[in-house]
Amino acid sequence: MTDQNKEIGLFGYALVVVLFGALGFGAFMLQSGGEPKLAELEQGVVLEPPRSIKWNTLITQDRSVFTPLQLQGKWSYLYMGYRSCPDACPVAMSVLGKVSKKLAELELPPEQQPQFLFMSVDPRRDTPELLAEYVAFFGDEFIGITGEHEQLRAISLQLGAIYYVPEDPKTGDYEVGHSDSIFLMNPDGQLRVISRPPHDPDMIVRNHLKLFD
Amino acid sequence: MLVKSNFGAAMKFRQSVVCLILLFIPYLGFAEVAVKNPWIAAPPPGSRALAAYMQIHNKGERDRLLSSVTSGQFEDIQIHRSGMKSGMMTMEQVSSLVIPAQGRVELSSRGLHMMLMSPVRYFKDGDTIGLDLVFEDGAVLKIGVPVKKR
Repeated sequence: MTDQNKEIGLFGYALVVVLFGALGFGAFMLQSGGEPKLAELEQGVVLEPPRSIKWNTLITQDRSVFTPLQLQGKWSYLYMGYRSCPDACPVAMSVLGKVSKKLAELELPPEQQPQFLFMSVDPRRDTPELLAEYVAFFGDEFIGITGEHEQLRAISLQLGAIYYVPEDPKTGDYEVGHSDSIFLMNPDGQLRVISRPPHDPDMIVRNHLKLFD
Repeated sequence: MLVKSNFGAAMKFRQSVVCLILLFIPYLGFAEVAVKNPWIAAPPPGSRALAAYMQIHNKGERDRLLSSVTSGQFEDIQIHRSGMKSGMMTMEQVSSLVIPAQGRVELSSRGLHMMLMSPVRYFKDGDTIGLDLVFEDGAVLKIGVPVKKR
């Protein structure tokens, strides 16, 4: 495949995903009976009402099954990326690492203290063991999850996120394209906040505290 | 005898001065090109690529072309540009980098960066990595880059 074809392939795929995403969002708006209010935050939006997400079966870093139950009763920050990502993912993950430390220092009530998830969209390379090692670098309690592409795609579309992994890479050194937003789920596992890049730990902390004003 | 030996010493001195000057010739142009605030982000374990960030300043009157970056510590070093494309963060390789006359190029996270691929060992916060910035005229700027936590 020439580079140009690859480009078109990537763009074409992204376009399809964007279209499906738009369709899904439209369907969601119809279903929820009106326009969701998008309260503006610094570099992000609060979804009002929160968007319900069907959490397909995923696998966690300790090879246990990740179920929606693990999102119940806790706020959860989620970033979607891949382990060998040299720039965007470690930037976002280290921001979340700082958010985690800053929020811990504030001694919030337990129900306001979030958990942090990294969802790898590169299951071919990111085994649960490697994910465990990866997420621990950014925060003690961080949880790595991944799964089959079918499940990952369905979840990312509901989040309004997209990604691209080459289907048949020639070498192990391929790149993955992915959305760079940080998602916050409420204690019912519904999407509540989307934070847009560039990410800043203080801003995310401010936005987090605003939810409980 | 005495005179001769003095003469020999003077010759040696002169030779070493010439050698010293010769040694620095490739760097003479580099009073003009300077690197500021270089750092390499401490990678998570198992990383096969590290990112290096810096500002490259060119005080000279002509554009300089950074044609490659080399280091014995990595299999390959490429210059990449991260950016949003169709709503996704992607990276593309940049074949060379022009440092404009009287200007500078910023390599920073989520933008241009050097991607240091397949390290020979695990680098952590506190390490220093030597990089050779090779310019189009063959001139080499050697820099030591600290590894720091993001």
